[in-house]
Amino acid sequence: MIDNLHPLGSTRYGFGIRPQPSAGNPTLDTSFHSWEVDVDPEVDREDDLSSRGSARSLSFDNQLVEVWNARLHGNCHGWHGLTISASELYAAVVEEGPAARGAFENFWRRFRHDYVGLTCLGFLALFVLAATIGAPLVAALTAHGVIQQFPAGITMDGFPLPPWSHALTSTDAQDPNGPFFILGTDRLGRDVLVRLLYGARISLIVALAATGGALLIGVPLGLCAGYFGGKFDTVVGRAVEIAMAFPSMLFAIGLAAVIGPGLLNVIFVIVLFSWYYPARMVRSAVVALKGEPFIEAAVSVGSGHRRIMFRHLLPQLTAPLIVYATGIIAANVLFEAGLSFLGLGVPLPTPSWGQMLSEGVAEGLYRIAPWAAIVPGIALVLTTLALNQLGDSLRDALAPRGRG
Amino acid sequence: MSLSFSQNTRRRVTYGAVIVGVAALLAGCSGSSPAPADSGATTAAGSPSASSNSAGAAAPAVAGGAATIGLPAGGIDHLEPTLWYMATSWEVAFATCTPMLTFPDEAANPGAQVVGGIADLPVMSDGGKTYTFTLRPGIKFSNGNAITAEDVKYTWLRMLSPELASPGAGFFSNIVGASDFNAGKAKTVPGISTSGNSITFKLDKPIGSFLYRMTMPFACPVPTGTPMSAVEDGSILGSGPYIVQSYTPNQQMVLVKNPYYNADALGARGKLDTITIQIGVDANAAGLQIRAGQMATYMDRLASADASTALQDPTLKGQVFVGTLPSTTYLWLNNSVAPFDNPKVRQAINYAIDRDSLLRVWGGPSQGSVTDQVLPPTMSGWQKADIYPSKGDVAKAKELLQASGVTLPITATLRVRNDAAGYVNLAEAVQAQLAEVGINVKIESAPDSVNQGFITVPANKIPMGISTWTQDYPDPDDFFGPLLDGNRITPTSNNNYASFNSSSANTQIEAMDAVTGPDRSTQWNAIDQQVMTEDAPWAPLINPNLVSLVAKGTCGYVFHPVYALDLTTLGMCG
Amino acid sequence: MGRFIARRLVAASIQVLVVTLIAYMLFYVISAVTGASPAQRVAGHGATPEQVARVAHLLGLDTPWYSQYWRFLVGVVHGDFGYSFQQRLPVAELLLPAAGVTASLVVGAAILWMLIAIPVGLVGALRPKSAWDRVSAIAVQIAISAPVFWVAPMLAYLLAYQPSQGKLFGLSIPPITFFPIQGYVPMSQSVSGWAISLTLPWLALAVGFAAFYARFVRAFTLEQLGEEYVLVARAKGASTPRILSTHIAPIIAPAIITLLGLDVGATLGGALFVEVTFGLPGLGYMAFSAIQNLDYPLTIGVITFAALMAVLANTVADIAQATLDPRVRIAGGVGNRADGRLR
Repeated sequence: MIDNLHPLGSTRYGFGIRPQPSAGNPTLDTSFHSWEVDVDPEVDREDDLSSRGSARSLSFDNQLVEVWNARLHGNCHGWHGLTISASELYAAVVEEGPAARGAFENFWRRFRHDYVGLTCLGFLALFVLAATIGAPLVAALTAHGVIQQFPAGITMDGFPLPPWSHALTSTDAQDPNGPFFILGTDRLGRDVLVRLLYGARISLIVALAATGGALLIGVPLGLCAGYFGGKFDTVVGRAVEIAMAFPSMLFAIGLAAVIGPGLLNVIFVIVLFSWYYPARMVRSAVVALKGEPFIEAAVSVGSGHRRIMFRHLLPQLTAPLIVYATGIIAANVLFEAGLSFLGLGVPLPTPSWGQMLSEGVAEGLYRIAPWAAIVPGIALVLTTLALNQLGDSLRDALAPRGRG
Repeated sequence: MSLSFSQNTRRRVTYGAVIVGVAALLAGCSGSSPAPADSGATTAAGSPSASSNSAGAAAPAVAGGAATIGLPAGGIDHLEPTLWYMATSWEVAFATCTPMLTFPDEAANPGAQVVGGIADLPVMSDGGKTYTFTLRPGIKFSNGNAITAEDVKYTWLRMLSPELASPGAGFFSNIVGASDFNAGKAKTVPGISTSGNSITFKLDKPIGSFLYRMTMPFACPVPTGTPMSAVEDGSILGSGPYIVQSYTPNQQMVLVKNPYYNADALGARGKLDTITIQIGVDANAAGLQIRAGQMATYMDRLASADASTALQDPTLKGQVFVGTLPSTTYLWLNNSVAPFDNPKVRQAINYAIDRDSLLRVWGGPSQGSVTDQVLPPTMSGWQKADIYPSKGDVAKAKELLQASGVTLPITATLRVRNDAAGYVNLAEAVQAQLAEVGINVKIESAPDSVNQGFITVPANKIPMGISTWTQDYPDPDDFFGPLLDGNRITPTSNNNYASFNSSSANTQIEAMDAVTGPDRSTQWNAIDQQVMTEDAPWAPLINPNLVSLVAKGTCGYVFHPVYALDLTTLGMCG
Repeated sequence: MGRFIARRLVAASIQVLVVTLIAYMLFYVISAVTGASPAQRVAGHGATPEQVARVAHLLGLDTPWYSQYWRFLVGVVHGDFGYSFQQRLPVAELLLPAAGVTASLVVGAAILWMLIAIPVGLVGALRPKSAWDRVSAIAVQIAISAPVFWVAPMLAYLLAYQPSQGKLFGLSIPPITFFPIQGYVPMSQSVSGWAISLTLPWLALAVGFAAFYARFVRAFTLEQLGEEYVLVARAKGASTPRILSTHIAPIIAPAIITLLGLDVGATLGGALFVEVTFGLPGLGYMAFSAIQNLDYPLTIGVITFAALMAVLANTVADIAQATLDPRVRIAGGVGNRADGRLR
């Protein structure tokens, strides 16, 4: 009954219905009626079909499509007690296949409805903003430097000040004329808020640089290993397995003992222990893709290896890689925090969230100054939460899985 | 670094032992003598909450019972007595071993008087070059065999032997023939001889601190015939009130009473029947465990948060004890590296530093006291000198820097360990303070083992660093000799990180070997103040305290003058 | 099949060897570059350079690193992993009890996290986008994001210490000391004590992993539920539990086994943060202090053991998967991990 199903846009289809007259309705208008329906078979379930245009009372319930409106395209009026099966329609749409549409357009259409994903993106944008502009701004506004230590910012016994407090007088009372700390101070009398914002920079730089490095090494290796196969693949595979067999934390400690704390050193250590994840992932993806017809086609046309790898394989991998990257960034943020906790992070007195967290947990400081551990902890959790959630949302929007 | 594992790695580097003064405060006898007791008392009294909680002497314990005591990981380095070289190991040694000479089980011991151990106090002769010890009668090993002079001589030979490579050998190089024997060039040590139940030590020159050196547990008596290699299975016989019943490495050590300990000859020691030392207790949570009653006490520094809150917690009255350790934490400046070779620059740094602020960062007056001298207040005859104002004097510092002719800004690297609590914070605070006078400090931190690898090699020319030196025995030559005697600078394993080499100071320091009696402390303190005023090779910062927490129901806690925790006095309350 | 296993085992041994070689090189590089000297550390501060040299000779440190490595290899063949520099005890003797502790910790935690992850993941998959699903998704995300060195002390403080002082999350309760704040009770001493002393560590370690596995189970199951064969099964009248157990389980099992193998293997090398926080004398703690003390034989011993565990776990997972999925036997590979994981 469904006729002439044709795409009209990215998710819009036009189709026609030629109703069949029946005994109970002998006067049925049997002319061809055209409708439009909006459905994305990769996302929507059968019962998510929605109608558009003048067919506003085209409604779908679970199983049946009831068509009962006066106005139809091109043709007339009258109530048509006509039903067609939604699943039939749906099946027809699916069979027709998605219309060719721009990848980004596709992605955006799906992503923009994902409120969670958008929130995460917004949060991360805020994070970047805070790190780049916010940090010096707040430092200027409060007139507190990032490494500036206020002797009156800790009590006589070395306890930090709680959030929303002033520096102390000589009798350990709050001095209303003294410097004010929105988020309190740390063990050395430094402003926690300013350090939090500057710490965001380090977390950002390290996570991005380390992830970038890991991808830079891992992706080409995985590509080549998967593509060329054979000896190269075996060698790379073994190297990956060996690298994975290293107890990473212990090695990181040992390495850092040699090369000492430092921004580049931290990035180096993190890259050393994360390059093999993208390598593995890319390799298996490439191995799976190798059998695809479009690759065969490219080979038969005589494309060189490089062309195939970069023009055909890599674009296919971009989507999963982006998703993967957000996961790796999140893991690297935590790895850096862990390294700082062990004293192997960025050089003092540059703050990093991991270092702030470690100072808060060290020596039981959180028992007398809980904010010292809670503030950086929440920042870390929120950031990795946002990154991981963004990864999930990106994956849903770029290459949605199955139905529901 | 947050993981406060390894608070107490090598004896020299963290706390070590002792406190004297607070005990005096506790007993209410803050005498007017310039004994360490006084200075210790001043320290603790600086923080009112401290004294209110630690007032009242610890009630003596009753005999019997069992207790669990916590120890950080790596706190027991060996079971072989000659190799014990950690403060925590020495606490165990004080319970399981009786050396030739020792200290009484008392908190108050002004000047750390030495008493007899397995031997009586010796007879000195030959201008202080010969010491003759007579062993006390009736002393036995933990298997019932008598301890003879031959056994003692064998112990010494073993300790000095090249096979064992004991860290103790270095303290006794002045025994005639000891160095050759230790280098494998001789088969025996002519300087040690026995006769009946007496044993004689001949030195090649008088050593004023020799008696103190004899109290160290390196030469814990062992029977003749004990293998000339490290015996780590716990089978070495003991001579103290406790013996090691079992040892599971990294997990647990159980001490029980030594049935053959001769209380008549050596004095009654030991209250508890069984002491279980739980190894691997992290300082971060040790305070919590004690408060929860899961542990009687802890054999190392508590997390500073726990220490500070314990002092202010009225429910813990009578369970908290504070005292000064025989250590100095100092910022050393490399006298062989420009611009620190200029004494005016070094003095300027001493003025630039605000020690009071540093103390706050360190944890406040309950955690230590500021100092501008080399020796800690626990040393006999110590007096507060106030050579440099504790608040610092930035103006004066700048003035001195200008007068020195150095071009500012100065950039220098500071090396500090990052595996023990507080050092990195100190380094950061110092960094901020020195920045104000135009000295830009770059902090390089590393675990202690790696850090030491750098700073003990003078050729590395490390400009500055923060380190702590803890005494091996309570005599000033243990500080000045290794740390400030220019003639003892070695190309590796050098302890004179400052590479301080002033011929006049060297002469003065070495001349003190011959000085004995009360003159010794007076002269040492004079040298101390003179060196700090004129040469200022370092900027001494803090003399750390040890805050100890004891669980309810545990009594008999004594801050021992040399060993901090005296396991033999701990016990259950009545 | 036998050939496959043999091949994998040979590959596994080579991998472990390479790891130990690299570890040896690394630590001797540490000494060369930084001048850090294990001999000096052992000899103590009071030692003269001659004494340090003697100690170095005693410890075999004055020979080039490759001959030390060769001696190590020869020793390993005889089951002798060398002597710890610091404790002068055989490394093997020190490793075994620590391995037992770590194994108790990791295996127990693995059981716990699977017990949490599977139901949570399944429910999330069966009721996608429901309130439960959303809430658990957030909870899972938070659990993955919270660093373990933060979670562990919090657990110790809130669930072990606070109750002993009569507080539980702000409420007053009669003081009860149940969980030890730190410390390990060996199973030989008391099974119940052992379990109690490990409860909070299990929890701390399991939280992050449970979240990851719950996510994985949910995503995988959801994907499978959308497949045609499930539709067919449903059409034939199969109930949900039946579909899960008969159809989906055999597909998801190999994937989970692989991941589990990787994670357990890696963590058997020592769950450092949890061990230190809870004072468990396991491999991680031991290795950490060994590195700090430049105790190379002990460090290498732990690293070798850890690598062995990781590689073995990997191999076992491979074999298990090969048993279940013949394609793997031929292709010779294992599936990939979808997320970078912090160990």
